[in-house]
Amino acid sequence: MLVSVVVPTYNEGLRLQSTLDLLVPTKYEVIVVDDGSEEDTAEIVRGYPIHFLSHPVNCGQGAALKTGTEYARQLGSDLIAHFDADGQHRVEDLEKMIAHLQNNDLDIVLGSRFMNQETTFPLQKRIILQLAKIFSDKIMDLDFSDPQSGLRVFKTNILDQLDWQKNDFLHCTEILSLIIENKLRYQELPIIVNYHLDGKKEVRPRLSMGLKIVLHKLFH
Amino acid sequence: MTVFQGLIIVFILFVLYKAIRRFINKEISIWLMVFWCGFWVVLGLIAIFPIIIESIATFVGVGRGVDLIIYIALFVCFYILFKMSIKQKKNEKDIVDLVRKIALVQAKKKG
Repeated sequence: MLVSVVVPTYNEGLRLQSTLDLLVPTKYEVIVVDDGSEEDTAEIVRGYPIHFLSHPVNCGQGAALKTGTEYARQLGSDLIAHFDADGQHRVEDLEKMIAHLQNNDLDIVLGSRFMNQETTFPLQKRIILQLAKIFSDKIMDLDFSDPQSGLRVFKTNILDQLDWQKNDFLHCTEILSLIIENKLRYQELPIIVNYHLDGKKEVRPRLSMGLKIVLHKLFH
Repeated sequence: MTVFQGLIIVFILFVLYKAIRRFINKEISIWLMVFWCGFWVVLGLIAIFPIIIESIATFVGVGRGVDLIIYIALFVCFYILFKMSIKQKKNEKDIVDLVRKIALVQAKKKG
């Protein structure tokens, strides 16, 4: 069974190398998609036995994931995983999710940071994620424990139903909407996320993000 | 004629000159040039003879001519915004599709 792991990256630098150091020893096909980074990502990944794709311009994480996913399909992958490039995800969790998808009658397995009490969130991050969850529950009617999780594994044969169009961060919410809309069989599994990485980029919350979710709900 | 009317006429003459220049330089089609010239000539006539817009406003039941102009301007602005938003979304999608195609064609395979 061919499993591909798609790693979207944007100016991740050495964090990407740490992530690849973890992923390369596995038996999975690793697909790195550089989303128009200002740094020379091709040079950073040189020497790693991976597939490398590059967006000439920055299009957003959702777009980079879609490019990598399409490439994984062309490779003939049976299962496709999405894995963040910044080193926050653990390979143990990925392996556990892949095994769970293989051994159960499911279409997609989602990683959840809130089902595991071992993850220690910085306070600001915890507040943001909880607000996102309330938003997702109450406005989007999506009852998932971690609507913004970037770690997921799914079967390639559901890709036609999982055809997300959002190029930015909204792809997470859109994927959950598509799961419900198409009645895909899913399960969330607890994962542990490392938020205390050296030189970790902080993604600051913006009011426009919430506004975009509301507009998405109203007009789609 | 008031100073305000004079300024509007000067501005309209300037826009007409630009539209005709762009047509001569083959930057716009004859139909677009005719449309813009017609549009600005009508505005010029309204500026010189405000009674035109007052009569139309009374006819449609708006009241004042200025109000009618504001309503029409708002309507046109929102319509243009709507059209531009659709166009911008389409352009963005086209760019991402193109970028994806380039990335897939130029993919460096393992090994």
